[in-house]
Amino acid sequence: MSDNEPDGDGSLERLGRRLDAVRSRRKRGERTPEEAANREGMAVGLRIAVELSAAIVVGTAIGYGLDRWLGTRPWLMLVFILIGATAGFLQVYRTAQELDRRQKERRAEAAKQQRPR
Amino acid sequence: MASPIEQFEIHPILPIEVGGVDLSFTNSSLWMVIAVVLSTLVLSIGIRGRALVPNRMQSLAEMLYEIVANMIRDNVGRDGRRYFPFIFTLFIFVLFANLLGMIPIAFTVTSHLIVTFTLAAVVFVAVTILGFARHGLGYLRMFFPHGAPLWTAVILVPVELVSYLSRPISLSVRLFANMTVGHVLLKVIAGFVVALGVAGIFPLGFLVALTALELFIAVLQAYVFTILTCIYLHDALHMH
Repeated sequence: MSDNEPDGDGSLERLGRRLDAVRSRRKRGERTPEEAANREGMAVGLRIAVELSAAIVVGTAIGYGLDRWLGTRPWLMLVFILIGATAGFLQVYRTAQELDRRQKERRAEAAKQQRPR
Repeated sequence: MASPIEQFEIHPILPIEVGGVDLSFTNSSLWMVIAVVLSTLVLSIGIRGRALVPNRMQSLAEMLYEIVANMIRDNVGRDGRRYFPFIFTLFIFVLFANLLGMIPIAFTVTSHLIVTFTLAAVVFVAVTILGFARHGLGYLRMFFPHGAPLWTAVILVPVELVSYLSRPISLSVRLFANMTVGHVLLKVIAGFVVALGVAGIFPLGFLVALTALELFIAVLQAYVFTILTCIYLHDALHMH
């Protein structure tokens, strides 16, 4: 390749131009959003499932611990299971909101890139 | 045939016992050391040249740097930069541990809950201390949303508290579950290949695709672990 020859001035500019060309080519060949969403779908699903169950587990554990400490079995555990479930749904809601925000950002960026320069 | 769970067993390589506590150097420790040494080697060899036009190794090192730098810029903000070394180390360690686990007969460090939980607990404790250091007792407002009527605190504070405490659990369980499930699945399908004889070519084909997926998950989960750390850090610095 003649482009690789080191020829003093101008070679850096040429390299820059080549990089730009490769970048724009790569952009065009990028995965469609649907494809990317499919692959990320499992990760998102698992993330939400873990978020929900972790909060319930933590709530139950706190309730159980308090019950053992205060001798109020099983009442605090029942209350804290409910609190844990609420916290779990709250986390799921927040995660969904955040994913939504991220997707909107990505779409806005994609739209920006498609406009002619 | 080996059981699918056997790959997660821990064997002591160098038995050490201090005061009745088992501190043996195990296969798990060995692969952690390999992850640390290999990542250090890859990165230091990568940046040795410092060429304007990078070669492959340098590109790799620069790419890893840029991924984490962008992640911190987008999720934490400008003042998150000083935490770059910690987050970069975390990302590289998890990434290398996950990827090294994909090598046959290697031990997957991150398939043990205690390992991922320790990582998550370090993040959780550090972020909490940081929050209190930054905002003093004002950090407790994390547990009570702005502008809510005061009487709702009875419900909201425990809910927010539980959701805050569930962070290290969800952070660690997600990574652990992903790695464990993937490796069990690979082993089970691999068992079918042997059991089915000639027809085993079908599960073998599936196994190839599954291995690719697992590699993708190994990278993705390292990324997710780091990005969530960034989000928690952001919450501690800016409080929602």
